[in-house]
Amino acid sequence: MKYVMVIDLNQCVGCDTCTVACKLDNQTGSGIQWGRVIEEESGRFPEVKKLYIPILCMHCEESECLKVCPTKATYRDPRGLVLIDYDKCMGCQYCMLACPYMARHFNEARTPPPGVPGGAGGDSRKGVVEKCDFCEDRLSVGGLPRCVEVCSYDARIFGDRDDPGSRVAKLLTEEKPEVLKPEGAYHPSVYYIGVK
Amino acid sequence: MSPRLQAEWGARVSLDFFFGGAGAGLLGSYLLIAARNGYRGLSVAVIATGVALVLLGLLLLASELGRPANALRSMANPGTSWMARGAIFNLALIAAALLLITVLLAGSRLLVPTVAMLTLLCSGLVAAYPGFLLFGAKDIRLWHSRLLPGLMFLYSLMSGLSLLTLADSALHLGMQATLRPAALIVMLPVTILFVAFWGKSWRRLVEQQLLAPFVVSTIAAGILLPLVCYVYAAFSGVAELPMLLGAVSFLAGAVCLRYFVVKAASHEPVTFLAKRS
Repeated sequence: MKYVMVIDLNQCVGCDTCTVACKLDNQTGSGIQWGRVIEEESGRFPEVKKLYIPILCMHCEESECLKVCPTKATYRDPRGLVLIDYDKCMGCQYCMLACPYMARHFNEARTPPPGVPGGAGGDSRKGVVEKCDFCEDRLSVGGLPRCVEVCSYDARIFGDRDDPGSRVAKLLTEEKPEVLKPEGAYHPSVYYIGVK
Repeated sequence: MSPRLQAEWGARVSLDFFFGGAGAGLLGSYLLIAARNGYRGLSVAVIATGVALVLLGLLLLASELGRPANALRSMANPGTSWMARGAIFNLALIAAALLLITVLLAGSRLLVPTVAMLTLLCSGLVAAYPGFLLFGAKDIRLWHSRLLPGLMFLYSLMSGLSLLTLADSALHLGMQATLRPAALIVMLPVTILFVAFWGKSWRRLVEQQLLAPFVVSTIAAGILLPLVCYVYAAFSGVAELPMLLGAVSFLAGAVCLRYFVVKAASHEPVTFLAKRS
């Protein structure tokens, strides 16, 4: 089993519903966004191109964050997810420097949102590095990541790459998916279609 | 899309690199020089100063951690993480140097060369590891340079020689005749590596608006002035004052170098279109 996400940039309109839903669902703190959408423009009028590119942890097969973690707090689970054991993390932030996608965030928990005891994400994430976990808790009960669930434009497709009948497996075969920073050979699990 | 400045590590990590490197450099250079006369007359004060500097560096690093209580776990992954290796090297150096002090105080002359060589080995590893640590962040081009481990190592060694110059003056260790040529010999490769490293990367300093303070502190005070002082000391009869001035000036530049290496670093942009246009 290998969970992957395919993001169709032709469908994404940059509405940031995924960003907000992720933030609410995971109770991330001020300034922390496990998922974000960046905008890119190129060309000159009238030949212009604009892309909205959702960025999240890419759950790389060659994870730089996993290699540099001194405490083995970052680990890979059997489904291919790169996860963090918050009880082991010492908050050195070396993984944040190593992550080529800048998808990791340090929880200083200085400004806890109102009504959230112990700060963002509760005490469990205070003083540690946190990131997208593909909503691992939802996957465990047969659900989908929250960002996939809320996308009104069907821009995010999620599933098991090793299941030949899955939609992601078909897209990866039929389309020509691209990845960000392919030159680094990180082999990310988040693919993009509709880049051109 | 432009590169994003790294905001994870700052002044405290720079100071950890400086103090750890200077402490390791002091122990390493002192024991290297002392090896010539079979480690006779080793000064406990110099060794204790080296240990104190390494400890200070570790404390500064611990103060940067989100959960310092988990720091003991940091030796769990020496296979791939230079942070884990660094923690092991630092603790091994402290243990070896403390053992050396114990052996010296106990008067066990037979054990001194063995423990001194162990301390020397550990000091070399501590001096070199920050360069490899930074090299491990592949996405940060400034750090992912093969020159950086060598530069950090030589800066640590030169910082150690500078501290030894100060210690020689304060404690009358009688090492000036050795320190004069040694300082010049190490300063030359330091300068060459410095030019080679920043020659490719000076644009990063411009991007971060750090060029002016870099030129004043790291180039003028940290390289040019010590070079002039060491050349003058090596070829003139007056040695003590230029050696002291060179040592203090180099140490100030060495602190700044670590700071600029850390602060000028930026992540490569995440982009699809910029590479195609």
